[in-house]
Amino acid sequence: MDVKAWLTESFDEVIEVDDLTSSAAASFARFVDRHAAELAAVVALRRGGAGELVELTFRTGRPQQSVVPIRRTERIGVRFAGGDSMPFVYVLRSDFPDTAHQNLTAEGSPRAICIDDRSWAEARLTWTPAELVQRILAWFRRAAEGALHDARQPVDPLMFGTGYNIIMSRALIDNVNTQDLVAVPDDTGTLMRVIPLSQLQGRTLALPLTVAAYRVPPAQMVRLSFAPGNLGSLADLLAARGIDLFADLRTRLAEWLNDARTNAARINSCLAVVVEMPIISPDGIQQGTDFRAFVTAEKVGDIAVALGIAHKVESKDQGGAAGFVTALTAGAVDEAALIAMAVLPVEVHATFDRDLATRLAGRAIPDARKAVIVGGGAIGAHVAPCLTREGRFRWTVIDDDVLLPHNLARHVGFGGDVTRRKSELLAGALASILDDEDSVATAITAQVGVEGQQNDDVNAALDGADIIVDASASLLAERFLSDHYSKARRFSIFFSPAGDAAVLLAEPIDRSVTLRDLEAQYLRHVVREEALSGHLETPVRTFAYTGACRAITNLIPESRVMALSGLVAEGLGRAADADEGIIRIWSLGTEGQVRSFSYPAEDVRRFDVDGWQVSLDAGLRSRITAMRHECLPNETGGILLGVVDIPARKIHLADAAKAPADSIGSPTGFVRGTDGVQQLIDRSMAETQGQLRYVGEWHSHPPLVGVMPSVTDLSQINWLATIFDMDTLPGLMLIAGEAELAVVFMRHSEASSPLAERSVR
Amino acid sequence: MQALVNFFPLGNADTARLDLADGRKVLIDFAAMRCDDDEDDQRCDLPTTLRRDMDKAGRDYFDAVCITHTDTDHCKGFGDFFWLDHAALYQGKGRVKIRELWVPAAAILEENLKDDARLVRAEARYRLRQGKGIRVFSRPERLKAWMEAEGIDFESRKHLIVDAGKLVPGYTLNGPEKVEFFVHCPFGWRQDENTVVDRNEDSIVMQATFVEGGRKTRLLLASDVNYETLAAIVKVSRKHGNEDRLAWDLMKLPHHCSYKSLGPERGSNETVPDPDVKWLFEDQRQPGSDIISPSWPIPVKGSKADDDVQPPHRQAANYHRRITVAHDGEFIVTMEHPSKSDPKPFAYKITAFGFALALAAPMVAGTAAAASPRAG
Repeated sequence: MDVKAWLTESFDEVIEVDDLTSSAAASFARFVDRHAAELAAVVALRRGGAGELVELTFRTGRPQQSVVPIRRTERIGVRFAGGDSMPFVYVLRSDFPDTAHQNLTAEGSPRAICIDDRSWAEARLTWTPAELVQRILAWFRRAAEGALHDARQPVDPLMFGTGYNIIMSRALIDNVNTQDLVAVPDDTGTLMRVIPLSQLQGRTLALPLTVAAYRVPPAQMVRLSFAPGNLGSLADLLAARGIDLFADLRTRLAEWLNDARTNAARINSCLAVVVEMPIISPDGIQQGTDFRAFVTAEKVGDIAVALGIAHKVESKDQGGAAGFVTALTAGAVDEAALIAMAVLPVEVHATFDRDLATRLAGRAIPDARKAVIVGGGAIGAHVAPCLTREGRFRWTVIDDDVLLPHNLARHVGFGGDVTRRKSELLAGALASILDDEDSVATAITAQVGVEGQQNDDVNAALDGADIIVDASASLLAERFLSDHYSKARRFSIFFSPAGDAAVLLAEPIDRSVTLRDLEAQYLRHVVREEALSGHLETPVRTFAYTGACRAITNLIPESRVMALSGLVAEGLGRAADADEGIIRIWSLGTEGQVRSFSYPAEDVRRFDVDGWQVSLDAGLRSRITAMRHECLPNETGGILLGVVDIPARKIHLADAAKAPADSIGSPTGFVRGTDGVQQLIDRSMAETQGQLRYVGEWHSHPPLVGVMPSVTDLSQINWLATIFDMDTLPGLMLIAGEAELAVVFMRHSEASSPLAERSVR
Repeated sequence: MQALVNFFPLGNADTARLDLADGRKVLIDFAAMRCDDDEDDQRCDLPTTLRRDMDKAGRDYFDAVCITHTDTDHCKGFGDFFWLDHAALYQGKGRVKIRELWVPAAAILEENLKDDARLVRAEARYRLRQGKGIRVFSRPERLKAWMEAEGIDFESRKHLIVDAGKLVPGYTLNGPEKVEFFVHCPFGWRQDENTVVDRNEDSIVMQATFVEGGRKTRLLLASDVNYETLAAIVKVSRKHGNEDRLAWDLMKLPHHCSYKSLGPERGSNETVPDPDVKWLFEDQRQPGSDIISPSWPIPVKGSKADDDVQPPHRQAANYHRRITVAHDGEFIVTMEHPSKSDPKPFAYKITAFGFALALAAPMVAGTAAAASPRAG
């Protein structure tokens, strides 16, 4: 290509700086003159049909050994087209290399480097000539270092530049031959939705469109460097990628012409050639696919004539409805006629499917795991759509509630949805986000975790799930889900009662730590972490939405729900991508500040004694060990705090307090004091809404003594069994030895025979 | 951190600042040439420029300052700018400290010195006596007699002496500094035989090798030596199989583009180099290498400056330009870059792709931050 000829043709008038009408062009030219002499020098200022051009020599800062052949000084032209377009940077050299990050220019134009992909309307607010210069410099530097894009970015430029767009689902592209299509333009005429003719409703302006779709195999993929402008150059472009456009069109079009009556509409519609190109990153990995379309103004019939397989007929008598007939003997392809047929490059937007959602969320691998979410209330209705928009999960929504007016304060539902089942409402919302062939979401209207109620659908859904998300805000449902026979990994998400914090409990992938275990660990952190003081406090102000005494709802504004739900959704996605279990808490301050707390799930050891299960996690074990060690050679001890589930006969030990100040420890015994004990129990209860309670006593044994209860210990467990009988709980004592722990357990009714379970630490 | 090699427009005078990958700073020569009372003096205000860089880096010292020889155009202003350990007069707020002073033996041995040369000598002698903060470039024998006469114990100072053909201790390619300095000159044999000290030919010549991303970039710092010394360096290096120690990507031209650093005759249009020097300039240069001439602008043919005996010599420049352009390189004259009317300091970045000129669009914030605006 001849740069000089292009320059004189496109920008025929050479002007002075005062003649520049574009203020950006003038300020750029002046900036270069006055401030950037060491970088660039203006050679000429030009004007033409395409706008104003500042032509300059530019020092590229090319390193000694450049990855692409850039010169130390390049001649460049910056075009200011006015209106809503970004200054366009041409490199005025016919042999400038084809690199990534160039704008696609028309055939016959010099190459243009893509230095800025923002919209001009937005960029101009802060645009300065210095920034333009800096961006050009940065482009050259990255080009020279072979770093124009990171490895995950596709090699092709996204912008076609014609401004025309069509929207089409992948399914439609894959089945273009099965139905007649029309393109329905929007009110600007530049954006068209391609739909089957059969779906066209009412009287709408619609362009009959025939689509021929091609797929470039990954191995054949090469970067586009120019946008083809006619059918001839389009055929060349495809030929370079292993596709013989004309031969294929001859076959396709001949078939339609053979049944011209049926295909009359098709033969008289415009042709759109849709090319599906793999997006290959520079490291050779396919990132997905991209669609480009090239639309002709000519009818399919006229193209068939140029291809030498049809004749145009003047009257219907000669060839039926189509106006074209098959040529009896196929003639030669009229290349000149095809080159004269202009094609308009058009961007194709595939509808929003899982692949696209995944990519736009910045992830690489689509996540179509089956997730059951229990609870379609505030947190579920925000977190699930958020994850769906990020391409995550195939959902089953379980809820038995209906949407009431006050729910609109914190939900995806609208006024018209009131009285609808939350399960169906949320599943419908999720399904409408992704254009996916597989069902994105289904609904089960049922209550979960109510004793005596079994629901086959619920059981089947839970059993078939990969992931179960408890968003029920109910301890009962959470524990039901924790105990369910399904092998799916569990998560629980909920807001604090005051709505100023959100919590995520994530089981490890092997479920060695369950939701129940995490619940106890979470409560320990709430009590121990000073910054979380008041985390579970019930707000003073609530709202009774009817006169009934349980019809109380919290006063949490939607803005907070959204903020916290976003944090939870991100945390949930991340936890679901990792194998480890985790507890996360996000606490939102009054000024919008977020504090984030993160705790690994601690391994749990379970003791089964007499129909009860006592669980003890590694965090607590090491804490007890440390306290024992600190007091050696004396014994030490204190109270135990834990979570109890009386019907399920489960006790989760959550925390062990250190010895009160007035305790007496010796190498042969320990007497627990009372200083501060009541206060600690009260505070733990208060901080955890009564969930973390006093469950027993612990003490240490000196080395070489073992962990079996001594005679003194036996009388203590007797005492414990007596007092815990008040709460229908067993007495519980934990003994920490050199290498072992023993849980001593006794129920009042059988006070004479305590049971002990030992465990090596 | 990206290593930088900085040059400054100082007329016919040398200063190069090496900003190493680990943050260390090495200054090769210091020549504050600008006349403060002359507003038209286009030479850069070196003390201010260096101090601004110190402030930016949050430090008040150079890790090493190398005075290649004690001619004025290599050490002018030494006593005004640096904190000198040898006398309280040269100590005080604002003075820049020197962790390690590098000098040729000649700088210590030479008599009848004046001004800054004398101060360099005093400081070097003081540090040698203290046994720290100094490296002397020469064969040990040369110094031995003088040290004995001065009553300085030789054995305990021996480690401070760096011989030609060796690397300067403390700098390795594998360390975080990612640079090493190979010493070519002063030679042992020359210094042994010389009775009269010849400053230029006894000055320090080094090859600095930087490494970045596995790629080496070599900077040849050839002080003010003439073609005979260069030829001798070439011969010695070849004899020892050290040809690669004379390979270069960046060349700080010796003696301000003097023909005398090329060959015996100035020539009318182009100096013809001595064969060994030709080998150094043509065969040892790497593809795309640059030459930096620390000098006044190259005189135009027939101008008054063209007749001057002083460098830069047009004929030498013509040779360098022709060869450099043929090798896809650039010949940059410090007083001509970016323009004769407004020369400015400039820097090369050391990258994994070789060196590259450090370029940036001038920004308001950057300019404002470097200025001290006043309001009345």
